[in-house]
Amino acid sequence: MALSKSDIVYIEKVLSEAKKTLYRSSVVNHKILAKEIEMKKTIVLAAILSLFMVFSVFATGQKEAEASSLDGLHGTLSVATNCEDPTFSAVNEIANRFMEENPGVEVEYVSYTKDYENLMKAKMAANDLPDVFATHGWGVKRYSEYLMPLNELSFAKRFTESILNVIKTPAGNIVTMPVTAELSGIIYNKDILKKAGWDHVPRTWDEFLQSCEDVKALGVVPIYIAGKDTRSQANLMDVAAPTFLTTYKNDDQSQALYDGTFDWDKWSRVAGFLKTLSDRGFLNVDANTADPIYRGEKLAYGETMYVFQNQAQIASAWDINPDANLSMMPVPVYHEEDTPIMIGGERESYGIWKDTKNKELAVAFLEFMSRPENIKYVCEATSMPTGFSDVDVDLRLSSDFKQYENLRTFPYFDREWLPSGMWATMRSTGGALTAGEITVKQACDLMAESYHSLLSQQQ
Amino acid sequence: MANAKNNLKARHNWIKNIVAVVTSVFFFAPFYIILSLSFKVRGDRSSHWIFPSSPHIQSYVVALTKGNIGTAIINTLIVTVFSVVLIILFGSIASYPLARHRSKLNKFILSAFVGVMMVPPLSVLVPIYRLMVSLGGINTFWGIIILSTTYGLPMSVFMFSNFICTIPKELDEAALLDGCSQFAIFPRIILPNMMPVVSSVVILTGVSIWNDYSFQLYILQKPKLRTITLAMSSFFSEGMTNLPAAAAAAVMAVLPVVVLYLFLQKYFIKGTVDSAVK
Amino acid sequence: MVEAKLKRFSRFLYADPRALTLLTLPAVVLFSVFVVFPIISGLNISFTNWNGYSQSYSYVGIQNYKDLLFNDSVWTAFRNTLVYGLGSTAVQTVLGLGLAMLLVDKFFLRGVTRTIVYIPAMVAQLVIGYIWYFIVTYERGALNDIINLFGVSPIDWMSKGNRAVLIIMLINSIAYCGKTMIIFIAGLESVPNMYHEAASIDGASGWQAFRHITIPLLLPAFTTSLVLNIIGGLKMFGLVIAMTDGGPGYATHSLSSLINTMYFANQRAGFSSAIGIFSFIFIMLVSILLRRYLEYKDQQYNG
Repeated sequence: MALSKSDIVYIEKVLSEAKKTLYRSSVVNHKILAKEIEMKKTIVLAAILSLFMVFSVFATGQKEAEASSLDGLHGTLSVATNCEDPTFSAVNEIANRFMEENPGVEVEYVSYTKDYENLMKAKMAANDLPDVFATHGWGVKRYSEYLMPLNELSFAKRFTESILNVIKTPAGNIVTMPVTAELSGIIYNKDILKKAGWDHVPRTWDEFLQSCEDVKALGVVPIYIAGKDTRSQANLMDVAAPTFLTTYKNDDQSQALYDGTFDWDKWSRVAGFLKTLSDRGFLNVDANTADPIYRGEKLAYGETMYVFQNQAQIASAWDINPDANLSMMPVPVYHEEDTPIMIGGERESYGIWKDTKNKELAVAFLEFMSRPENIKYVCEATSMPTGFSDVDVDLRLSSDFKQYENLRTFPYFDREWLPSGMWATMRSTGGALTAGEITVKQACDLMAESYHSLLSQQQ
Repeated sequence: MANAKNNLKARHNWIKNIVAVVTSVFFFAPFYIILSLSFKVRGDRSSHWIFPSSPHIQSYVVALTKGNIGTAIINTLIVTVFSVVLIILFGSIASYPLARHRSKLNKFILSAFVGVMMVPPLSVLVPIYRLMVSLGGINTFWGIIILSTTYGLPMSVFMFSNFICTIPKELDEAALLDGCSQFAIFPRIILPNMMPVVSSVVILTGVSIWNDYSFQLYILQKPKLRTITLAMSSFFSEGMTNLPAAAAAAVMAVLPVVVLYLFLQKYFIKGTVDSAVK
Repeated sequence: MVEAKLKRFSRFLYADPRALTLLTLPAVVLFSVFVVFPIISGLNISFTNWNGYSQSYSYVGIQNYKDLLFNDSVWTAFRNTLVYGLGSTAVQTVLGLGLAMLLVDKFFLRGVTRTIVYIPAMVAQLVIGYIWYFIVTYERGALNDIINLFGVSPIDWMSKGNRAVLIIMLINSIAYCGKTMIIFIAGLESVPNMYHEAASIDGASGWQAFRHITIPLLLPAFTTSLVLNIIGGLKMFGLVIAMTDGGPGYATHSLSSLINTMYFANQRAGFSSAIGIFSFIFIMLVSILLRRYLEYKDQQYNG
C-alpha cells in the first residue's frame, strides 16, 4: 500500500518531533554533564585550596629560635605589658639590644593596652602566664600570688627607699622591678597660672579652688576630665585622697584602712571635693562624655589649666605642641599645717612568673634591663623618673623637679590603702558623682560596701 | 489610558529617586566622616564634615606598619574561611534530620540550638578560656576556629532547617524508592538545592566571625597571630592621640567585608527569601 | 551472634530514620563541650565569691543572687536591655519596612541605595560605636556642628543617662536596619501578584490592600526580624562600650556589658556569673514564649 500524502506529512511530523526531543534531551544531558564537570572542578579546586590552608594552619606560629652556640642563652621569652608608646617603643628597643647581645634568644614583647588587665585575670585563673609581665602598680596587691621573689638578683639592692616600700610584699619579698617610676602631682599650665595672677602653685585645696575660680574668669577650663573613661574621675580622687586621709600625721587613717575599721563617712571629704569641682563649674562641660583622646590637644593648645594625670600625658601633649609650657605641681593638702606631697610608686615595672619554664632567660632579661644605661634610655625616652638610686635621668622637667626634691612621696591611694578591686568602685562612683546621679553620702556607702566585700574575699 | 499610567509611574520613579538619594546620603554620612578623618593630618582640628583639601595617606601608612594590618587581614581570613566552611558542613548535615524527622530527641536538640543562639558568649568567657588552656588551644588557629564554629552553628542550623522544610518531602521519598540509601539523600538531593541559603549563612556567620573581638583577643594573643579587630582596637586606647590613624584602621577593617558583600549580593537576597520568610 | 548484631545495626543505619540523628553528632559534640560545659561552670562560679583570677575562692551559697535582686545597676541594665531589644525592633520595623517598600520595585537608584543602606549592618559594633561617638560627642562633634548652623549652642548628647540609652538604641536601629530591610524586601517580593490583582478587581483601595493583604503576609518576616533584634539587644556590647563605656555611672550598660564589667573591672566573678545565669534564664523564657507564639500564629494561618 502506498502511503497517502497526509500519512507522509504525519510521519515527517513525528520524526521531526522525535528529532527535536532527541536534540533537546541531548542538550539537557549536555548541560547536566557540564554542570557535573563544573562541580567536579570546583571540588578539586576547593580540595587543593583547603590542603594549602590546612598546611598554613599547622605551619604558622611555630617559629623556633635558632640554637646557635652551646654556650650563651637560647630560647623564646614571652614578655607582656599594657603600656603604649613611647614606653612600648623604648622597652622594645631594650629587648632588641638584648637579642643582639644574645643571638640565640627571641624576645616576644607585646602590649595589650586596655585589654591587658582583663586578659591577665583570665590567664591567672587558668594559671597560664607570660614569662615576664608588667605589674603596673599592682605587683604587691594583685599579682603577688603569681610572682617570683627577686630579692636575690643583682639589682635588688639598687632601689631607692621610697620605691622599695611599694614593691615589697608584707613578707619582705621584692616581686617586681620598676623600670620607670611614678613621680607626679597635678599637670598644670605655667602660662595660664601666671596670667591668672598667681606667682606660686596652690599649696592647699582652698588655694587650689581659688585658682580655679581665677582661671575660669579668664575663660579657660580649669580642670579637664575625660570622663567617658571613668578612670579620669577615679584618678583625681586617687591623687587627692592621701592628702585628705593619710598624709597629715595628726589625722592619719592608715591603720583603720588596713584593718578594716575605717569610718567611710570620712570619704565624704574626697567625694565631696570632686562634687564641689563639678558643682562650681570647674570641670569641662562634657566631663562625662569626653574621650581621653582629647586630653593631649586640650593641654597642647592651652585650653585647660589642670589635668590629673601623670607625666606621660605631658609628653603626648608635647608631641602635638612642643612649646606648651606645661609642668607638674605637687599635690595640695587639706590640713593647713600639712606640706604638699608628690605621688610616687612603680610605673612601668616587670615581674617574673613564678612557674615560668624560662627562669634563666627571664632573670637574664631583667638584669639586662636594669643596667644603668638601659634604664636611663627608657626613662629619658618616656620623660619619666627612675626608681634606681644610682641612675641619673635628664628630663625636660628635671629642673622643675629639683624644687620638689625634698617633698614626701606617697603612693596612689588605692594601691596602698585599699583592697584590689576598689579601683572599679572609685571609677563608678566618680563617674556617677560628676554626672550628678548620686549624692556624696551614697558614694561613701557604695565605697564602704565594696571595701568590706573585697576585704572578706581576701580571707 | 496606558499613557496616563506610564506618566504616573514615571513621576513615582522620580520621587523615589530623590528619596533614594536622601536616604543614601544619610546612611553614607558616618562613613564619609570616618573616611575624611582618615585622610587628615594628625592635629588637624577642622570640623568632621570638611574633607581635607589635600588628602594625606600618612595615617594609612601608620596603621599598616604600627598596626600590622596586613598580617592581621591574612589571619582573619584564615580563621573566618575555615570556620565558615565547618559551620556550613556541620550545620547542614545536622539540620537535615532536625528538619525532616520531628522526633522528640530531634525537637529537643533543635530548640537547644536555637536557645543558645541568644546566650552572650561573654558570660562564659573565663570557663571557656580555662578549658582552652587545658586543651592546649591557646595561640593556635584550630583553637579559635573550633570556638568560632561552635558559636556560629546555631544560626546556621536555624536557617538551614527552616530552608529544608520548604523542600518537598516527596523528593526524598522518590529518591528512596529509586534505591538511594537514606544517608545519601542529603548530598545528592538536598545539597544541590541549597545554594542560596548557603550564601546567606556564609555572609551572616562570616561577617560576625570577621568582626569578633572577645574570642579572638583571648585565644590569639601572640602579635603575629592577631586578627584585624584587635589590630584596629589598639588605636582606640587610652594614651592614643592619633585620630586619623584610628580612622584609617577602621576603614581598613571594614573594606574586605564590603567587597565580599558586593560579590555575593544576588545570592544573599534570594537566600533570605527562602529561609526567613517561608 | 556478632553477625546478627551487625546485620541489625546495618538495617538500623539503612532503614530507620532515627539513625539520621547521627548526622547531628559533630554539632552536638562541639556544642556540649564549648557551650554547655562553660555554662555549667559559670553556674558553679555563681555560688562563690571568686575574684576572677586567684587560684582560691570560697562558696557563699545564694548570696550573689540575693545581691542581684537589690542591685540598682543590674535592674538598670535589664531595663536597658529591654529598651535596646524591643525599642530597636520597633524602630527597625518602621524604618526597615519603609525602606523595603521604597526599594522593592526596580528603579534607577535601587541597587546602589540597597547596598549603601545594608553596608553598616556588616560593620563591627565597636567600629560603628566609635564612628557615631565622633558624631554625637560634645567636642567638635558632627551633630553639634549641624545644630550650630541653626544657631543652637552645642549639646553634650550622651551626658544624661536616659537620653544616652535612647540615642544608643536609635543608633543601633539605624546602623543595622539594613538587615531588617532585606528581610522585608524578601517578604514583599514573596507576596504573589495575583493577590494584589484580585484585591483591585474587588475594588479595594491601596491602603486597604496594604492592611489586609500585605501586612498579614509579612508576619513571618516580622517575626524573624523580632527574633534577630531581641537577640541583638541581649548581646549588645560593643556599641555600649564604644559610645559610653556603660556610663554615665552605670546608666547605659546592657546585661552583656555589665556582666563583663562586673567580672573584670569590679573583680566580682561570682556576682557576674549570677547575673549571667539570670539573663540566661530570661533568654530561655523569651525563646520559649516566642516559640509558642510562632506555633500559634503558624496554626492560625495554615490550620
